[in-house]
Amino acid sequence: MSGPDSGAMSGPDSGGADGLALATRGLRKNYGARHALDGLDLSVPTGVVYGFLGPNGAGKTTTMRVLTGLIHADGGAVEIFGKPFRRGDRHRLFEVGALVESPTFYPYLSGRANLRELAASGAPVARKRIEELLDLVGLCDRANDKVQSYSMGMKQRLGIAAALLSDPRLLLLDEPANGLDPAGIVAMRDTLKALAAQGKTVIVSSHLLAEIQVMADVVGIIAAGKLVREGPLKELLAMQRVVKVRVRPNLVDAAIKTLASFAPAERLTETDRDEGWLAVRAEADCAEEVNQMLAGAGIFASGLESGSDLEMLFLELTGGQAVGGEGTFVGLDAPANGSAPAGKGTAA
Amino acid sequence: MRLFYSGLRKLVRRPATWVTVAMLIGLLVLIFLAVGATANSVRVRTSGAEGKLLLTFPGAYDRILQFITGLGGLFAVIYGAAIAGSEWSWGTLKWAVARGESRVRYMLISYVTVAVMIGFGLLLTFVVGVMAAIVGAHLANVSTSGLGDSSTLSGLPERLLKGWFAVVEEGALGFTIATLARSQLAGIGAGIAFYFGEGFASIFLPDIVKYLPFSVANASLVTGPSNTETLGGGASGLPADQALVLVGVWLVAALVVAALFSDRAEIAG
Repeated sequence: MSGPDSGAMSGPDSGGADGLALATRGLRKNYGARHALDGLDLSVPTGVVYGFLGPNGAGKTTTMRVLTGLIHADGGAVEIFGKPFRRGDRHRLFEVGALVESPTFYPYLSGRANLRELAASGAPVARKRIEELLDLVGLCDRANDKVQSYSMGMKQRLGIAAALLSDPRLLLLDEPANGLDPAGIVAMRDTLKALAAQGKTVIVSSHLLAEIQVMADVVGIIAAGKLVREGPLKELLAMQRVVKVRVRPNLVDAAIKTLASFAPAERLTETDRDEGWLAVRAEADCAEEVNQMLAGAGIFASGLESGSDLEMLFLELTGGQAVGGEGTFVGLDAPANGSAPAGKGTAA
Repeated sequence: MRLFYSGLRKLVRRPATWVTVAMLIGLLVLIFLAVGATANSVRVRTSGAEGKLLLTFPGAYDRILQFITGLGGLFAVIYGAAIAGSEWSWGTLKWAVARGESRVRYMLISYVTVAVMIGFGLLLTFVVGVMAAIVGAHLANVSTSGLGDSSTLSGLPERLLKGWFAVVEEGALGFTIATLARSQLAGIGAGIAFYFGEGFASIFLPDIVKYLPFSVANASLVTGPSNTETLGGGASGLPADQALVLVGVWLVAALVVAALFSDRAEIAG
């Protein structure tokens, strides 16, 4: 993966000179004639939750595979904590924990045994760490059961525990919420935020924009193998303030006409005509003004929301493609046991 | 060493390990008990004499070893393929690589643990086989006085070791085929096909096939001066010593191919 630009990001041993936990420059990966990654440049600061978004086939999973050494890039460079990560630099992964795609295990072994055997590879892991992680992900009661009897959500929990085995400084999670029940999602979110608060860096690829919106500090949005936007979530959303108005579907055209004087056409979007939803990109405190204008024209809104919308930003940047990637969110899985939901707090 | 112990723990707990050993032992016991029970039957008088020969020590040691290294070789191909293939099919290799483990080290140590388990399985099968032969001999009223034949017993460790080496080479072929196929089922299927295909090809191409992995494994275990029965075409197989060297060559070559492929492969899915 080394290339002519591989030395462009060098920094001190403790991390990137610019405080980056992970950086990719001009990352390229082709599958035949298809460019899965087409010069991807990511800059992930240290100590944040980084939301990694992109539509189906945008290159999210390919990126994750390159970052974990599963596949090799055709060009470009990767740095992890300021040090180059090239083909022979597998020891760099000792500082990385990863859950790439759906978690898979030895089906005939228990959850505890799977973690134990996994801990035998890569960076050394203390025995007590396994018990701490089983507790953290709420699998203590089922830890001795064979994995083949686990639900998808339980395997996902075990996968998250496996990713955390080495207490990594950089965590790469591909769709970590897959199969988790709502309590599990909340607990996972709390855990990831707590890890970031400890100074660890968490990169989360997810379908769940709402989840990313409440969890991520920084987001990177990719499309067709290229980065289309990256930055602190708050800053990106500040540029994407919207007022959503719901009127009767037969009054949508009249509402658009009424609001045309308030917002130019490019800032006025029909988000769901059948349901009568219109989105007006404007400052959040304009909601009253919008409502007043509609009422003045005899159109009474049955719903009014104001705020920031990651989904609109995403759709705009990715050319309106649906959010996605491999896997499907289920989210209705029963808790792993009758006890409290997956542990909150931080990884030890 | 933690990877080695981990590999052993995984294999000890794996049902395929015990199913494979149980099948080998079960067939061996069944044969000896069946022969013992029927050797004196009037209807099988002619073959009964041959059966009694099978149960007569110290010759029975040879028969047990032949059985173990013959059918055991096929089982080793299947077992090796199952272990390597599952690492790809189940995605467990992916975890190890993503944790920074060396692919080459992981695969080679995986096979070392397979070799250890093959050795354990062969030894267990041999011991149970001897016991079954004793029971069979009693059933057939055959003397077991040759059980303690000192010259045979003194040569047993070396023969067991050579048998293990040959079977480990055959297992390595299954392991490598499944690695190349990245699949348990494809690896097992292709391994079995190669095993029987080589035997079939020896009828038409004996001069070539005698150098191929399963043939050299068989040839390395022949103890007599003549080595004409290992190939179907009537041509002589290789001398045992030369075959043993080739067994080593095939073993190393198979593992090098598996390691190199694993190192270069793109892991997806």
